[in-house]
Amino acid sequence: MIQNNFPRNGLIWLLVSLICVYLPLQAQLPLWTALVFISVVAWRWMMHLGRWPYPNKLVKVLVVVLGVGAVLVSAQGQFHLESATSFILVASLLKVLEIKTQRDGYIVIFLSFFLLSISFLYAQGILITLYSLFAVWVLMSALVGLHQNQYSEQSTPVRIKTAGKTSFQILLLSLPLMLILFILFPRMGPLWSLNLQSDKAKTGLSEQMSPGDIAELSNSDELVFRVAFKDKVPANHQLYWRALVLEKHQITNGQSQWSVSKKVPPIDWYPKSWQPEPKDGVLDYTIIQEATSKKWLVGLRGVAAMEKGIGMTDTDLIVSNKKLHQRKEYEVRSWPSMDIAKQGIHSLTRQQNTQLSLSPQGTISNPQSYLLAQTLYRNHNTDLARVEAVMAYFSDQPFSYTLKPQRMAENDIDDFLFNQQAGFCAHYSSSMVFVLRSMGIPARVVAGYQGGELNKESGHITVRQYDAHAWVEVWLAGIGWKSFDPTAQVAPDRINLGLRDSLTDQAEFLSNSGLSLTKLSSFPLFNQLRLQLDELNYFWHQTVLNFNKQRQGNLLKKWLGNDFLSTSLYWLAGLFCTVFLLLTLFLLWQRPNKKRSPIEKALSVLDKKMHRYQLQRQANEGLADYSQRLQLAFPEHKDSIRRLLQQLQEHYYSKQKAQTLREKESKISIQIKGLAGKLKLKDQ
Amino acid sequence: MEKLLTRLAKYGLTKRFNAWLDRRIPPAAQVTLAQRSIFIVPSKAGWMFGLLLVLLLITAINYQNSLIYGLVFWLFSLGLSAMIFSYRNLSGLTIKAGNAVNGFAGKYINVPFRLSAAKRDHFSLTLSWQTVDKNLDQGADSEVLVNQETQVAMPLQLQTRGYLKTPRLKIQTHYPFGLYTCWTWVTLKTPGIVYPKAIKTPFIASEGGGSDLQTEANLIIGNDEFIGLRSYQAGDSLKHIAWKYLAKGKGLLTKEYDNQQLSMQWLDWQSLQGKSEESRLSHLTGWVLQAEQENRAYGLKLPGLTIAPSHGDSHRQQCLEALALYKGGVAL
Repeated sequence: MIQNNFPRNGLIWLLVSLICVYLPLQAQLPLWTALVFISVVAWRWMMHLGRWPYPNKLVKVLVVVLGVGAVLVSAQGQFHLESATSFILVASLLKVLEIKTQRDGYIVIFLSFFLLSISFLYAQGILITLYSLFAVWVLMSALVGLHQNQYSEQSTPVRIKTAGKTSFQILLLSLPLMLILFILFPRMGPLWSLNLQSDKAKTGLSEQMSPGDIAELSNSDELVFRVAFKDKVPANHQLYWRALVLEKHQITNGQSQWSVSKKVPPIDWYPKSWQPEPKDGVLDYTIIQEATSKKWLVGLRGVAAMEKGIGMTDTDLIVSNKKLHQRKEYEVRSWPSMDIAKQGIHSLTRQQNTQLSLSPQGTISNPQSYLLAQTLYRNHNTDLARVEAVMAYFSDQPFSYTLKPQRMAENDIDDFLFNQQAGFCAHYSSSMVFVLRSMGIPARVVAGYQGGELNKESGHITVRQYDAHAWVEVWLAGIGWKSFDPTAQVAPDRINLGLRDSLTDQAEFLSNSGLSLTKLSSFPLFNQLRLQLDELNYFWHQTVLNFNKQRQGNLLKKWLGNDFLSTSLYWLAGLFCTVFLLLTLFLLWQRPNKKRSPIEKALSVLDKKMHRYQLQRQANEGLADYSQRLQLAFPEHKDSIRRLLQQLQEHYYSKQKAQTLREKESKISIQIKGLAGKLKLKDQ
Repeated sequence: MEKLLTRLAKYGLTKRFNAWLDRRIPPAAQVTLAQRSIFIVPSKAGWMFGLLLVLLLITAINYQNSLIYGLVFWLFSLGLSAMIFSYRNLSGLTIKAGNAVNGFAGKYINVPFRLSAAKRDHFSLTLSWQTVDKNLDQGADSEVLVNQETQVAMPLQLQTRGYLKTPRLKIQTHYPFGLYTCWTWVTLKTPGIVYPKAIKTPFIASEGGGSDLQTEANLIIGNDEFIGLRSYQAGDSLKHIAWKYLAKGKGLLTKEYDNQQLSMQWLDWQSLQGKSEESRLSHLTGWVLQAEQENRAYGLKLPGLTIAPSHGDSHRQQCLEALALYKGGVAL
């Protein structure tokens, strides 16, 4: 076959497309890939300019060993998505380095498509989607560039433009079919369980909290989940999104730490779990939660699992049966005013929720706080009054709310309560639980999110990492578990308005996050833009990204009536067959349109006549040979046959205008027909 | 697939395959490509692309990722549209046979073609013969822009004497994405005559016909006697031009030799008895060339055909044609 060399103008497209594919992935991959990427692209470009030589075999082997080695080292012996991605990236980069033939170009482009799809696993917002449309266009243009003639008359810029135009046309033309396929293609569950993503720590709530952790989260405006309420949206101060219950108290390096107890709590999986009837005060809502690599889900107080794969714990939480490596959408029902454990709690639970760790010296930690607890205990008669006294302590003392608390000294709760008196929600909840447990009242820290931003247009609430919050739940005899938020005593705005609006010092907000849209929200124009983008993204998530089997079914039902889903595959096949059948029919119908020229018709008349004498034209016979044969057979017409041949040849082989062509054609065809009439074998 | 067809064309079913092709794309002086004359199959890269789509689809299903689903569907429909665009890159292309070319069997000549397009540009076309010639570069790259005529000359080794019969011309394209191989096989009737292969041997004096000219065989120009100068006439050999006089500015003059009257020669079929027909024709061809080079007058005697002695380009042409078309040429 023809050896196809690599067209030089394709290289520009190819390098640009590599850059396009790499950019969105860069944040996910180790830093060294950026170095490899830049050096390879620069090297290849210098090779293209002819300044640097092609790498020889030794260099190639060295580069491959280095590249694969780097991938292996950074994977640390584990196979996960990041390492696989780095490997594919390095492979395609090395291919670029030694790219010579068209085939190498295919490999790089096809690998790039794969890398592009991997980047969809990390980010799927509307902006990244628009960007990817552009990237696909560049990749397809690179593919066209591979097939452009190297010795073309067109200049390189013109060819680059042609490639871009052609791929754009085809991409546009392919859009309708893509949409049909997207809607009709039957969705199914995963073929096998894939867990290629590394459990690398994502920002977000962890199952262990030491005061100060949540302050870290407040620096991130990353999306955590979105909520859409079926009916009325509750007020901001009612939105306590519970994610984790931290019961276990530990002291490390003199700092109190609260974590999820290691014991696996009994889980009631749907549909075995409790399902409240829809009645007054019951809230139905849908949550679209971003990937966390954890199992916890979020819900308001009095939560109930409403679909398969979700269960409830005895701590009033809902959990997923799989880690959330993907965005998850789920329905939740809550009854916030429900009584929880009103009748009493198990002695084991009581023990867990009154447990306090001793200091490493074996003495009671935070003695001052312990003393405070004893005082409060003696001064009040009921547990409820004691809890309220702790709450009152926070409002009476000069406590302040800050995102940048000082590091606490050893016996951190003492330091916080009596010395610094400035902290974040985690400090307040941590110290409150400590004091309550010191009195023997069952109490626990709840970690989750509070509030969220309401988008007035679409009515959905967006919750970001900086909405992370911690508060307290106390068990009171005859009442059950009851929530208290000590932070509200100190900074009521934090609960009523949200973090962003509650901070008087705007510089403190998202101070470590660099430039972000949320940060620019103090400019009205930007804020509006940000909210609109958020709405668009919500719409995008709901309609496109979460287009699953159920949604597909609903949509098709709405459009085409029941039972459509089960037959959508047939519909799809039928649609294809119809289109192709119509296309074939169209082509067949077009065929008779191919007119025979008058000369051809006249020749077939002659041929029919000659058939009588077994002198018809053979399949492989040219006109010249045919006339020779006829001249031999009819010597008396030799001259006229030869003249006709001459005319025919002149007609076929010379350039003529269409007008004269048609005139000549009819003239010659008349002559041919005349000849056909004259030719007769004498003996017949 | 395309290779399979090529292989079919090469071996086994050659005859029937060619007959089928002839019916489908009849030989003509000019062909405008349409759906009957265009073949299209997925290329190797096309299958690779299909594999990529399957991999992406599995990724989409396993990760339940709508965007990857979208990408797969987009690329899939793009693959289908590419078929139409690939077809369009050939459809509407007009290929015309070029002007007449003559040559000797066994020699290479350039067969000219003219490509033109009425509707759209046709990019990245590769032209090659259906039969592969190992001595040649296997294809010529070309492109045809709309309303422009592109000339392509395809080198071809001439096989048998007679009217020129060119093999099928294969025009192939992978444009735009390389996912499909789209090609056509057209037979274009380029006018032309293939002369027999020339064999150079000394003249053998004709024995037949009782010619009184036979004694003049083997005369050589060097021995001829110089008579004088006359003014140049069209058709005079360049060898006989008096260059020195021309240099002196006395115009074009031709040196006249005595032998021109004497060196008449019959190149006779009968004188080559004992040789095969084709070999006789080859010898006679060689003699025609030699006689012409030596500027003799020569006549040609073939069974049933006699060409009176003369010389000059048109006479040479007439003799060579008679030799080429003896008994209608060699059937392929």
